[in-house]
Amino acid sequence: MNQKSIANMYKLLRDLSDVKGIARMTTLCLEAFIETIRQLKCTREEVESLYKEMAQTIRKSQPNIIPLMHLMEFFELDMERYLKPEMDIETVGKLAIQSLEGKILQFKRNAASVTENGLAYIQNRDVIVVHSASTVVTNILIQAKEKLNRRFKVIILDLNPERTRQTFLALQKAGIEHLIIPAHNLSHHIEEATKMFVGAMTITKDKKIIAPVGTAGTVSICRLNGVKVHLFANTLHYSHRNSMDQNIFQAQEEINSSNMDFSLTTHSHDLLSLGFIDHIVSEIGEISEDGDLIIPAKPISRFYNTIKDNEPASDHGSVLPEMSPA
Amino acid sequence: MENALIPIVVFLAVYAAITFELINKAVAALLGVMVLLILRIVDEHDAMALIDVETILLLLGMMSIVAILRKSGVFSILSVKIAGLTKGNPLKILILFSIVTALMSAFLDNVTTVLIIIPIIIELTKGMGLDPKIYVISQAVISNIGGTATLIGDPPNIIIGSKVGLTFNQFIGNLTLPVIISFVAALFYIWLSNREKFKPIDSSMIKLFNIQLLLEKIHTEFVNIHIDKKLMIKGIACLSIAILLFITQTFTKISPGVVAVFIAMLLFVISGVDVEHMLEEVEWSTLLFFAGLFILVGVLEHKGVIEWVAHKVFLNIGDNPYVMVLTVLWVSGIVSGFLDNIPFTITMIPIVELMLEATPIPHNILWWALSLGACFGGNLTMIGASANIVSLGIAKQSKVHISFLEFMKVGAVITFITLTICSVFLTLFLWVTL
Repeated sequence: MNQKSIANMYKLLRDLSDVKGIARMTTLCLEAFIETIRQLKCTREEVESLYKEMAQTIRKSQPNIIPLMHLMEFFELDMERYLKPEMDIETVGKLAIQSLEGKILQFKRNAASVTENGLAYIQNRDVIVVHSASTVVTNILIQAKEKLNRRFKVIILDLNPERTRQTFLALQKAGIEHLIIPAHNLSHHIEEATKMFVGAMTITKDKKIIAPVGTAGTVSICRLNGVKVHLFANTLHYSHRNSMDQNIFQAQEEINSSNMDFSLTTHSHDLLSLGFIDHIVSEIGEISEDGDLIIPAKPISRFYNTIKDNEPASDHGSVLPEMSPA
Repeated sequence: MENALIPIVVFLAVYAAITFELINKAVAALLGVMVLLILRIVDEHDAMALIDVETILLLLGMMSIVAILRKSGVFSILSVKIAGLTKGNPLKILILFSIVTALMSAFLDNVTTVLIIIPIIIELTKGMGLDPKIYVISQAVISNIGGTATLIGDPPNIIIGSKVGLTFNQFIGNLTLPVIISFVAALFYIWLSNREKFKPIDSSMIKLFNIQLLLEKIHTEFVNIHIDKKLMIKGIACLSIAILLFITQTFTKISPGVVAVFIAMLLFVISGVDVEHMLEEVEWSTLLFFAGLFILVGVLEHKGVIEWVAHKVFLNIGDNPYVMVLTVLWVSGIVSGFLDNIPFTITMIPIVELMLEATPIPHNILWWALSLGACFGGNLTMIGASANIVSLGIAKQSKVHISFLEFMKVGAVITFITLTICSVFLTLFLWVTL
């Protein structure tokens, strides 16, 4: 496979997840995969290995997009389970598309449940700090206003102009009181803040969170000032690998400034301890950092850590058994 | 030719400074004018009278309208929609973007067109792992071809239209056919000479996947950021009215320059934009450059230099209309490839007038030859037209380096093809007319 194209793909994934957030990025990738299958021209002999190769390449993205990684593993399993050698290429394509559509549904369903559970964490007169607001966090804020008519204020920390713009437009449309400040000016507003909401790309086995750049600093300020930090992430964000194995992208840039030449090392994402989080809310309710359920939101169908990186849970959004393969 | 030596030296010095980009074009032209004023070759009042106000008004008006339209984001939306329609197919990218570029440059200036199109096409092709060079060159070339179709599409046409009094409809009516044929021929040549590069990407999953992500990225970057729907509607409405007034010029008797400035001022009022900010978008240096050149060429004309050149060079070719038309076409084409076509056109206008005095040619065919030659000749080299320089500049910023020879390899062949098409067209036109 062309290494340049793969490097290109990982860069696109990073660029897009910076502005879209991991949730949107996950569905976007699944939709892109479906469109790719529709446009692909290859022989019957090649098709299975091409799909597998594609899924594996997505799984190795820098950094790993854990929800997508899990869904790709489930997709590969679907392909192994349901594909038969006698199937023609059109049927194989249809099966693959149906499997991916099932993954999109599953992810959306999980995200909707997290949103629903998150509503309980917003009270009247709350002042909520948001940092690179994820789709789930934005939806919680909007629904708290629209469905529950909660009166609260949001402090948007401006770090990425596009993310700020998206959050601002969404809150403005919903009529939510808000204030936009530079992320480094939070100390001037921390007195009025009551809560902080964050999303995460990944929650790792060694109890770390991988989140957008700047999250670690903001969470630290909130912790030091007694502002409760809430993490909203569905269980597909949990990884059974350590933080050092998450393929976080590291770049080195040569800087020439004011007669000084030096090398600047940057990472695409922040790492912070799960211990800094006061409330972890998933689609099954609030859970502790050890994974123990604290507040169930609804009957539990499965516990979050049943999803292992190489061991898919039974309910993984597969719609394939319902169809009748040729 | 009395006291002509100083104006000739000044004119040649200005031309050299412009051609070799020694100093800013406007500064070069105005410096030349100032030398003539200081040496009392011409006085201030006579110098001002030499400026073709109609051309300046038309440019000022169109630049203002385009500045407001650009601020509204309409061009970005259009380009992103086109990017989506291509679905990452290389040939579709070439064809659809070329159609948009040609249409946009017919009604806007070529530099504005490439400023909008080139960044998107580079982002798209580079992201897809394609070589953006041929796409950049093609869009620069097509913008020069498309701009030839209308009075307002390319500066040489604006100058010819204003100075000679040719209408918007006359330009469209006479130049659309050769422009369309040249457009198709240019695209066909680009495709033919790069067939391998335009093969659809349908066997690589990674590349197909990247295309989907890329289209989303382009959509996010280019559309989400700069959209002002109200301004867009007002801008499009005003541009439509301006074009309508250009078309009905024969009945309204309102000159295109007046129409353009009137509509621009109207748009300033109804859009409520920050006028100071918008006026900063107008290319004042280009307007000053035009004004300076009109004075320099006007002085040469008054001193009899133009008449001398016309007699020595163009009138020596005889009175055969076919030879005259083809000479003007090819000389304009080749010279415009190496010199800026704006000063060249301004210089050629009095020469063509003298040629027509000596041997009248009906239906303005000699003017069409000048227009086609000056506009299409811009494709010969990368310095032949402003759109080429700007396109290659944008490409360089994106780390896509296109050399003089790389551009010329494509541009020279396309210039030859398009000038040949124009030769056939003009010969037939003349044959039918005579």
